[in-house]
Parts: sequence; C-alpha cells; structure tokens
Amino acid sequence: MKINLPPDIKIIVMPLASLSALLILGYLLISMGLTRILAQEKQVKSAENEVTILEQKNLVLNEVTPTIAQNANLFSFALPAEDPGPMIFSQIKSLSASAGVQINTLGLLPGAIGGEIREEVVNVKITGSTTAIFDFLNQLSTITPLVVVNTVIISKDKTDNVSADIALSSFWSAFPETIPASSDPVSDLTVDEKDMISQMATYKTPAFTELTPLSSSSSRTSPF
Amino acid sequence: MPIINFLPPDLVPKSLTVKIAKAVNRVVLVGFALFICSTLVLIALFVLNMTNLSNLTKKKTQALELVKNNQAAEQSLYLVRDRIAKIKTIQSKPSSQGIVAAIPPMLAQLPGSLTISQANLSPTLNDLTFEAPDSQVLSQLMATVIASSAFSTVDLKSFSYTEANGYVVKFNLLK
Repeated sequence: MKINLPPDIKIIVMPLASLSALLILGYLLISMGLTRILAQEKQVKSAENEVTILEQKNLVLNEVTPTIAQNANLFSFALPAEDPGPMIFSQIKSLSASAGVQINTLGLLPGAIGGEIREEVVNVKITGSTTAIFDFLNQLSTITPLVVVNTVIISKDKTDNVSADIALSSFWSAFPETIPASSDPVSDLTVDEKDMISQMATYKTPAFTELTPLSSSSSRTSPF
Repeated sequence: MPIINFLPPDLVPKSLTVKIAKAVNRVVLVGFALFICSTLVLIALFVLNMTNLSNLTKKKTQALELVKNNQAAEQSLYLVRDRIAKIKTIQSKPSSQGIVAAIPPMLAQLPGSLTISQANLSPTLNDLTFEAPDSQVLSQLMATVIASSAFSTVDLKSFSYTEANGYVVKFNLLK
C-alpha cells in the first residue's frame, strides 16, 4: 500500500532521518569510543607512573646495594631484635678495661618496659679516678647496642676512693616482619639518615668469638 | 531559459520547507564528515594507546624483575630505616649524657687538687659537690663554673668549710 505523503513532509523526511541517524551514531561514538579511549589513557598514565616508580626504586636500590647490608648489620647491633643484655655486659667490661675503672657490680633489672621499643635497666657500679669514671661514662654513648645514661651517683669514701652507681637503659625492638609491596616507591636515603649511618659506623660493636664446630675427624666414641 | 513548473501548486513543497530540508542536509553532510574524522582519530588513539600500554607492560615486567633481584637490598634498606626511626625515638629520651659530656672539659681547666666528692646526675637534677683544699682553688673553681658556657644555669646550693675537707661547694648545674 502506497502512502501519499504531502510534498512538504516528503522532502523533509530523508534529511531528518539522516540527522537522527547521525545523532545516534555520534552518541554511540561518544558514549562507547571516547569513554573507552579515556579509560585507556588512564591505564597508560597509571602504567607510566608504575614504571617510573619501579625504575626510581631500582636506581635507589642499585645505589645503596654496595653498603646497605653492612649498614643493616650495624643497625641490628645498635638496636637488636632481642634482649641485648649479654652484649651490653660484654661492651661494659671492654669499656671498663679501656677507661681504667673497676666494675664492682653489674646487673639487669628484670622485666622489660615499653611496647614497640622495649627497654630494660642495667645497673653498673664502678670504682676508679674521677677522670676515668667520666671517660667511662662518655664512652657509653659510643657503643652498640645503644644505651642511655639515666642516672649517675658519684661518691667519694673516707679513703678517697671514688665510685659511681650508674643506671643505664638498654633497648631492643623486633625486626619488621614484612616489607612493602614491590610496586611501592622507595625514596633515596635522606641527609639525616646518611648522617645517622655515618655516626653509627663510628660506634664500637661488640666483639664476638666465632665458635666453629669440631671437624668429623675428631671422632668421639658413640655412647650407644 | 527559465524553468517552468507544470505541476499543480499543491504538489510542490513550500519554499520554506525546501530551504529547511537543504539546511538539514548540509548539517548532516558536515556532521557525517566530522563523524568520520572523529572515528578515525579515535581509532588512531586506540591503536596508539594499545601500543603504549603493551610497551609499558613489558617495561614494568622487566623493572619488577630487577626489583625482585634487589630484594635483599630492599629488605636491608627497610630494616635500616626502621632502626633509624626507632633510634631517633631512643635518642630523644631524657638522659644525663649531656651533663656527663660537659663535666670533663670543665675539670680539665681546674687544678688536680680539686675533687668531686659527690655527684648526683639525672635528666632533671645535676648536683655536684666539689672539695677545694684552699681559697685559691676555690676561686678558680668559681670562675671556671661561672664562665663555662656548657651550663645555662649555675645554682650554688651550699657552701661550707671543714678542716678535713677544705671548702665544700655544692652546685646545681643545668645544661
């Protein structure tokens, strides 16, 4: 069946239909194409950021690699993961010998205080000349594990012997159990951190004797 | 030669309608051209982004591999930073280290006959008792303590004389 449309309508139908089609196509182009491109741009920017972060991280890690293991070792002596009592005793004995003072008593106050950083008190009683006592006290700030001088009571008896009762605080803290994600940024060491590393490198670390296991040739008779 | 329209007037569209139709056609034509251009630009951008993304993914994989190879260094760096932060907290605790470091330079300027008979050093109180055998050593002690820039406050707490110990002077010194 043929519909006889008025000539005014006939002439305008096609252009209007084309315009409608164009508007629909334009809408689709914007809603689908452009949105997708914008999402892609976001992905590219995010990937660029991640690559920059990783490259920066590698640069920092490459720069610190030659010394960082040694520094980590230094700092794990300075603030160990476990009670540093035995190491501090060893350091105090070594300091007393170099300062020329005699240790009368050396003890730990049982129990640890604190949360993340745990603290315990070390009591030392020494005798010696006033100069030697102050020398000993000043050397305490150059040893690892780190100690803080809390109180010092110096007294002179009737025979002119000078003694000092010293209360020190020693510290330890558990090592971090996890490191941040590989994609997390790492900043270069700051001037403050570098200064602290240089300072720590001058501190006296405890001397240990490494005990090597006996070789299998030195056989023992089996008790069984 | 002029065009003569033999159609009856009711079959001929109005001139205004013709003008509108022509205008709409022109708009459609321009719009379509723009649509084609935009589509081509979007396709080009899409391809470019895909290539970029693929290259970046490769770079990221390589960089991640390098980070994994440097994991030991990263662990050490993280440990060092953790210790530094905690050591700073420890170093900020009140201690007697400052006064302990300030006394030996002062003693070095005084005669050997001067002795410290009593000292009570803590982060809040620094009492020092000196024994000077004669007034000359005493005046030297006074001059040195007062002139010392190591102490912000010098408080003379007691002063006495005994034949056995000489002049006994007790100071409270603040860093």
